[in-house]
Amino acid sequence: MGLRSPRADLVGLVLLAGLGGLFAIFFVLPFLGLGERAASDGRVWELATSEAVRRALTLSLWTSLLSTLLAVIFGTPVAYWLSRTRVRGRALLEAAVDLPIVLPPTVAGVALLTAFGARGLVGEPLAEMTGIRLTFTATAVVMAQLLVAAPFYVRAARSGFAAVDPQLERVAYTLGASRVETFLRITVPQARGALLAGIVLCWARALGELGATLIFAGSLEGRTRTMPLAIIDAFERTSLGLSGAVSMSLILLVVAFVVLVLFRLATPDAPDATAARATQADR
Amino acid sequence: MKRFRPLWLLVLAAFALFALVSCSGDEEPESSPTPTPTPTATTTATADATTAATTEATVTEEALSGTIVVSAASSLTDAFTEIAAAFQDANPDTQIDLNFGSSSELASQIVEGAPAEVFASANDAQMAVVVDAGLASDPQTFARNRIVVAAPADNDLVQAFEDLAEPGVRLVLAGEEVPVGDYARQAFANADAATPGFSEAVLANLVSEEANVRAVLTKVELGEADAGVVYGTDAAISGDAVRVVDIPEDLAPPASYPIAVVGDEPSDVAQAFVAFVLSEDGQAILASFGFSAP
Repeated sequence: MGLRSPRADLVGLVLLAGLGGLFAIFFVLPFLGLGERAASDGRVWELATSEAVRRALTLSLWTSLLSTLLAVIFGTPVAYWLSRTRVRGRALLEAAVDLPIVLPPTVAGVALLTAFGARGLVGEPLAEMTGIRLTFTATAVVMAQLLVAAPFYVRAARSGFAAVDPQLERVAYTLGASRVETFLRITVPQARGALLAGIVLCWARALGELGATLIFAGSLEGRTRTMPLAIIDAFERTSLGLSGAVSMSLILLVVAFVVLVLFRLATPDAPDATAARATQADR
Repeated sequence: MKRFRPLWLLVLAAFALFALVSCSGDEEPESSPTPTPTPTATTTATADATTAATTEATVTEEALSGTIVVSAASSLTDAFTEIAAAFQDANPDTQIDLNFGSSSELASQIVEGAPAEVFASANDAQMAVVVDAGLASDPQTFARNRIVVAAPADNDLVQAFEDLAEPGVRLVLAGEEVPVGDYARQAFANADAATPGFSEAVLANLVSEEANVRAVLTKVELGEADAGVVYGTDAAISGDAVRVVDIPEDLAPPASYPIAVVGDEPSDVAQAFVAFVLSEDGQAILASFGFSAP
């Protein structure tokens, strides 16, 4: 029993290669399909440079970057506090923060409407007092992205902070550093990998946001129609066939790939390795 | 390698579970032994079918069996749900799976190879997309509809069609190629003749282009939009939540709904379903939802 069995090893190897191979094929084929369509369909390139695509891409980039920035500004203190507090019900709090990760974004969209819509909890008094209506605006796009994507950052940052030895912070205090100084010069650099990983995840999620945006912000070219919404719109235009959707999908694919590569180059300390270490320490 | 065993077992168990789930999923369309929509032998259930199909609606003598997918325009949601139920009552061995969406979305799906045995479009243009792709032929108009302006009941910003051009109105339309969005834009363009610049002024008020007519209606019902253009039949379903503002008839010609069987080898069920929609019973159901005869 305890001896190594060459036969079991072989079976394991075959199984590993087989399953891994199928898995890889499944992941590669859809991208091959996109590439094949792009190569065989001249309109794909023509459409890629259209005004509609340019406006959607511009909107997508600035809204996703802004919502990521907001996630970092507002999420970092929460993540740090969650990583250090021993308050009762911390598990519940963490679950609440993680909730949008699990929920379908459409739920987030409906929830946003009930809060900030024309008849929402805040939306109605806001419209009555100031005349400001949030739905169908770029602000609504950012809000939808923030609600859906920020938990990815908070989650990563929380485990990153938790992996930083509190002893280091205490030493900094004894050396006369203030809390803020300690946080910025000790804690953040120590958790850098996890924070960056969280930022990338958050940004990627914001860039891909569809359901909540469609419900809360609507879809209008140049105003609220981000790339994912533009792809849906293009798919529904039979005059474009699949060319429009393929064209925009490719652009989004390239943008995401370039950003990920740039991110890798900018962080020699591989973020996923750091995140893995962080989660290990978390346990 | 002993310590790896449990992991392998787990992986295998997961796959076994997956296989089990997907198999049981296949078998779900219950009772019919043939999963494909093929007509089965006439001998078995003839008596059954004739007793069930007491109405003159079903043209076929033999018992129909099989499952078909019917892709229908969003505006047909309620009417076709009832039509499908009536059809299944008359033909107990059949199952109608309804797939609703904007006609343009459905046409895109069908052209890209999505399974559908019947296509019911809200305009001729989207039906033409499927016909031109060689996937359907001989569409027949089975209903007509009219477009209206829908406004939230508690919002009196838009009282007449002309008000849509007033600055500050938050207007929601369906996308340009979605039939109801197309009909609406045609009506605006037609109004340009009497009021130059009308169309441009109205479209400047556009705050969102929705995926289908029901999404437009929802945005109006929720009070997010001050107005939206939908079909009269949709506005009627909203009841008190929505106020209807008529669009002058000379600006908006009636919307026409064509239906056709999809594919080279249409199943008997698909043909029978199309016949049922065109039959007196089908037409009566459509009329009860406010559609007019073709």
